[in-house]
Amino acid sequence: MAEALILDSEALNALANPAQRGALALRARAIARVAHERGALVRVPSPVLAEVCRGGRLDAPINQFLSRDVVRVVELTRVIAQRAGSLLATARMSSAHAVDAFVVATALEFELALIASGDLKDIKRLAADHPQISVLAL
Amino acid sequence: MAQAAEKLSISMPHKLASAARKRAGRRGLSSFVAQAVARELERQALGQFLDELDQTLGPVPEAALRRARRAWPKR
Repeated sequence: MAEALILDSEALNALANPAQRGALALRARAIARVAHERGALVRVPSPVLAEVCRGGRLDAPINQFLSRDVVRVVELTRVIAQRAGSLLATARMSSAHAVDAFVVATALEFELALIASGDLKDIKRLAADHPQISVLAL
Repeated sequence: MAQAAEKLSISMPHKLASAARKRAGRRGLSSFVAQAVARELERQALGQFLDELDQTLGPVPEAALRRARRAWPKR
């Protein structure tokens, strides 16, 4: 399986609105550029869309970005969902962190993964037992 | 829903074709080649997107690139 850059909500927002997100967007672009250099896939776990989409015109930048086929959305399968539950149990975290757990569970679909996140602490805690995953703060 | 497949006739160097057949195994050569093409199209789209941002917003600072390179997990 390939390498992947996994985008959480902050990273997705930064790449979809690069002119508005200042230093955050610069860091997100740097991470995406290095993913490109490495030939890594760029993926967005589908639950992340629930955090960034609010319907109607507000979603236009996200929809426009996703329609360019620069990144792909990974659907939430039963395997990923159950893996996320297991990660939450291992980390002794509640389902309030379900989206973070889906992000880490999606990263585990790949041989190596870098998660670009605005929420370093919780993602790192969920990924603690998995050295094939790194987490980089935006 | 699965998309309709289109049959193509393509040529590639013999050594490359042998290596691809060997690697594709039971999955089949068509599926292997389709996945490789999809990945390359995606990679090129990402490169084009990032090049456009560099042109319109300015290049990404080298320090940010170095930080991102260091962050990847080791193989």
